[in-house]
Amino acid sequence: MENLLVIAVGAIFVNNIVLYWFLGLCPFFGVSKKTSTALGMGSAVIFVMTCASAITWPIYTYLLIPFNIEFMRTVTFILVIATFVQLIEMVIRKYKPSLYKALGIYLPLITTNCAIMGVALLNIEKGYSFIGSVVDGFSAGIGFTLALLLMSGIRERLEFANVPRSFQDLPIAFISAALLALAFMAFSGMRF
Amino acid sequence: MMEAVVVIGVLGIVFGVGLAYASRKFEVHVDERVEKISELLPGANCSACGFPACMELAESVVKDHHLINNCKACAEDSWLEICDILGIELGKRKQEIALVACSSGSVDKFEYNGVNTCAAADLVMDGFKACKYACLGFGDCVHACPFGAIEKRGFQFFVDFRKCIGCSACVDACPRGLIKIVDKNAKVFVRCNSPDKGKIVAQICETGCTGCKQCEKACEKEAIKVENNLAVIDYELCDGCGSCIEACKFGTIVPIFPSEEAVISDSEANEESGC
Repeated sequence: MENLLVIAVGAIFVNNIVLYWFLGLCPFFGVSKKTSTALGMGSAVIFVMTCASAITWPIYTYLLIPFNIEFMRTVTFILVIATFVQLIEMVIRKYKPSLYKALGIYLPLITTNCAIMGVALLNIEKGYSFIGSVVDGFSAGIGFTLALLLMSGIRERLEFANVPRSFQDLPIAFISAALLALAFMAFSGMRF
Repeated sequence: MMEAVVVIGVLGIVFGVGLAYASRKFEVHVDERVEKISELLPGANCSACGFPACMELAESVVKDHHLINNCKACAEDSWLEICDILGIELGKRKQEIALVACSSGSVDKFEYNGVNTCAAADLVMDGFKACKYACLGFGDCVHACPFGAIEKRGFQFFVDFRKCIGCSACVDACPRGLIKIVDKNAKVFVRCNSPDKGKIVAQICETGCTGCKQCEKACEKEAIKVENNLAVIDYELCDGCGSCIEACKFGTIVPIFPSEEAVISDSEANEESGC
């Protein structure tokens, strides 16, 4: 139990998927302009990361290891995650239209996102158990959402700031993200 | 090596077949009219209809036909075509436009150095303009307009009639409620929103409405009434004769040009009306 807590805190703060691993930067800058869209994207990422962690772990353990083809995990995971997200999309579109509307366009957008893929591969690399992987996936999603929400708050404020012309929009967003990442570096001093 | 090919191949085939089966099983029936209607809708997602996107209006219109009245951005012919698809007959639409009810003639009360938005400036001591109803000029309405119809020229804002559809996005954005939605066929407009007494208005603003009632007397149709020290035009009665424009000593009442003239501006207005 304590172990899971360490995994969760580690994935949210210390090894934040965006600000520590620098994964998933495309949606991080793409949809962080407004808090509302950031929240939609964040919830979709939490959902997909949890599911992807849950499904890639058994595939790796019970399919790739017995056949001695661990080196194929990247290809296999892409296939598995993409298929799975497609399937989930169909199911919730049919049975939960409100959820489908909320997650909307974000679901297919993150199907092939490197953050999702990164979490699945990191789970294997760190040798987590099944429960550990799911918790890690969920927490990484929370960490992504946290970073996205912080960034959207900053960018909403940046809209009104008097930024030099050549730095307007994306350049200043990158600078802000770098400062945010520096701030998150402080968490790496945390040891359990 | 062989195992890798077989395992990945089998996985791919299983997933492919599974997805094909799932897409049949979980197929959602979409009304074909929805697609046609959403193609005809402007696609600007201005949300003036109360829905966040045009696509969602299209979905709702199929269920409740009269919701199509909510779309103000739709061009006349595509609107009629949508009515055709739905099999309903609706009369001619009322077309509206937004106009800014302030001529920015007020003097400044103090120098403002805060955040560059009207909403923020409005919070600081009732704004930096001497007139607490005056336009603050940071252009929240310009940013809010989904059609790019509002333009800032000097200290004033002008609405491009070719682009404006009266969606009232700017009305909600203006912290001072200065923007009015009026009939597109309106000929004259009162560019002031101050209910202050005439004496106060005259002191702080060159072009504000003092409520002197000259326009009320000049109007033969009795279309102008001064209420709360502010002239109000009843567009049902107004025939656009322009006598109020001549009667107004402060230049508060201005002519609105038909849509071919597109952009109204102070300078253009003066040149073209020759006064």
